Amino acid sequence: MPPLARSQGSNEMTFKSNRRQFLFGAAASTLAITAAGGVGRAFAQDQQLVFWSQLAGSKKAAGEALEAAFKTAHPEIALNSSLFAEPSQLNEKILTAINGNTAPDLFIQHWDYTLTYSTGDKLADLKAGLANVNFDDLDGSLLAYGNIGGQQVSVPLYGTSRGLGVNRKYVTEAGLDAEKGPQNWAELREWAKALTKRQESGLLEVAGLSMFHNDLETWEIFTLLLQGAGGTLFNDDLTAPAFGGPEGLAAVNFMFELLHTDKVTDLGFGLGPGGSASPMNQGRAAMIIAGNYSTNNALKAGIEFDVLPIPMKDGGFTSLVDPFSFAVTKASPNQEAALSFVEFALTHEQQVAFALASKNVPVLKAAQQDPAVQADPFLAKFVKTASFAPPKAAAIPAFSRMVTIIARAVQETLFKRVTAEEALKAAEAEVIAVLGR
Amino acid sequence: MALQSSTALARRPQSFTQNWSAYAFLTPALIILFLSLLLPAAATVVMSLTDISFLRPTNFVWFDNYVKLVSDGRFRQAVGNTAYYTVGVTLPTMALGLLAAVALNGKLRGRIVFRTIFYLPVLTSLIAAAVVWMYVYEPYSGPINGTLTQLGLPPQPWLQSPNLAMTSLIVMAIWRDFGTAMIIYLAGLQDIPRDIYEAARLDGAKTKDIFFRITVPMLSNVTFYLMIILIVQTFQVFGAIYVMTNGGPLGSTETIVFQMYQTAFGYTEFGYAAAMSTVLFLAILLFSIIGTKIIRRGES
Repeated sequence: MPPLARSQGSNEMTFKSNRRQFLFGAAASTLAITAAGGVGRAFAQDQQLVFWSQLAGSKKAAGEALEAAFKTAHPEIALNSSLFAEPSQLNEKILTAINGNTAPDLFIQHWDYTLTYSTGDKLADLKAGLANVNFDDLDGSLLAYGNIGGQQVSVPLYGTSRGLGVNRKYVTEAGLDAEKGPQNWAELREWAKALTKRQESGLLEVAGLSMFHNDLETWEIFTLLLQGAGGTLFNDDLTAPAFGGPEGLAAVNFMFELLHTDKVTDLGFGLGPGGSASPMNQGRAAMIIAGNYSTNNALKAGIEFDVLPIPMKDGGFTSLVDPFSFAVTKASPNQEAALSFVEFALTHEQQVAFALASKNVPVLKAAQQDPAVQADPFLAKFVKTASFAPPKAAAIPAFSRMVTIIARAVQETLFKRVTAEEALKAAEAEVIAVLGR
Repeated sequence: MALQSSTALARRPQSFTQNWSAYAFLTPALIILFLSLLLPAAATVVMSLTDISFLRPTNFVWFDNYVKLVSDGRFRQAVGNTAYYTVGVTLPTMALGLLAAVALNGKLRGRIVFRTIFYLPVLTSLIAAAVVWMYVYEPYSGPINGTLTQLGLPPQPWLQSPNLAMTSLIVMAIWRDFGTAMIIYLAGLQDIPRDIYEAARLDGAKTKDIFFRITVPMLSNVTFYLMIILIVQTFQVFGAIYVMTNGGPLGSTETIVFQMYQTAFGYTEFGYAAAMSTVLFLAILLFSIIGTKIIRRGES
């Protein structure tokens, strides 16, 4: 017995000593790793221009060329770029990075996300920072999406614009003039009816006008029609919604008639994996609301694709632009280098090169009119449709929420759950509540 | 007596000093568990009492987010959708899993092949499966509507109609999950002593009676375990909805987790999303506690 007791006592002594050492060792290692990591990271970031890019997909080659050209022109700046496939993916990364003080010096993102980030005063005012850029040389419609509270929190590299994407083969077969296009809503309606093909059973073969297949597209077509009827989403100072008036009603009613009276499409038509499977690319839609991104897939699918301007109710044309914009974080240790990159991307040469490679509308007005850009048939058409976009943008931080609210209201009407008036009034009330937060 | 005292000795908690090495080995796992699970869970509860956006200054709003949840029509719709999805997936998955397990537990020829085929969807990437099912449900050229049309029946807007979209997602989830149920039931079936079946047969019990009076009761613990697993899993559905319907049409497939994601990362209302998350956590916890108690009662 005594040896055992001694042995237990000895173990206890050993344990006390080991436990202390163990805890000390663990604490010291943790501190050392954290400190080394923090210092290393800070040192690394101080030496590099950290750029998070969303120039993926059809913009990937253009983005890579831009970065390569920048590296050649500015060998003194070490550019460290990371590519994110989707705006939502980059959004998650930026939100958590801003919170953890690990945000990049520079990023390029879809404009509405950038507005959200601006609410926390986390972004630099680029109007003050970009000393070598004349803002009057940039497209006002595109620029408007980065202007909030008088500050230019983002500056577009490029934008897409909306036009009426048409299948020329179907248009010609229907005896319509593909060069002229519909000039007002009445003609648009006639076109859509003439282009719709249904089987005897009623099964839709070709939608005359495929309207939307998600919330964002619902918002988009509603806004285009709202503008077409002479309305706007907000009042002049963006403090109150204005889409619930007679112009909004006209827009929803027009969609309702196309859908339920003329049956030019079915609800949910086109919901699918997207890309090459979209109705236009499968030859199952004669007209769609198209953006620059629509062109490549349609042409690859062998569609005789063309772009026409979107008619307003009583004549004239309208459009929407959708910029992808640079933003520089206020806390960036490399703000000067970040601004150099933006200035470089906004030069005439780079704007033209990016537009030609990516088929997107450049933000520099001179680049929009450059002979090389105008020589590209589709690019020239989207530059033209961009010119019909209103100069004022619905640049509010709660834009994403507003899209859902408006889209649901429109869809509820189209699914015959409520009247257009009820839906729009309820949506306006909801937007007012969101704006008040 | 000797056995009793040795059991009592074994159950008596030993002092920390006697087991220091065991605690030392457990420490890294406990630290990871604390940092990756307990701390974020506690932080989520605290966040739910604030208006945190990660962008603007944060204020404590205490229970405002929870009050808002009660009156939020979209959240109520998401709760209803989640409940419908959970019941719609859990019960048929278990029923089909049990039937498949019983069928493949016998000496059926090619049972290994069938087991593999039924289990394959579980191994398939969810996103790849979702994309394939979008083609399956395609209203104009998909195989389901193609078959309906061949039979002279009208094609259906499977993912396009607010009345059908959630049911369509449920069917896909059952296809994907019933292999798991089958494997768990198979393991449970193999634990049931053969002699019980033999005795029942000697007593003249019919197949139906054997199934309902022996197999089903003997599998009750497995059933409750499976039910908890499936409820927890279906409560958290996100991927398939994100890919296939994005919550639409008209929010008919918007579940709590999907809405939580949209509220947090789409609208940057992290405090409100944390309140949703806490409510979901409590619901899952409640189901888990009830299920565990039922299983323990069954064991005793």
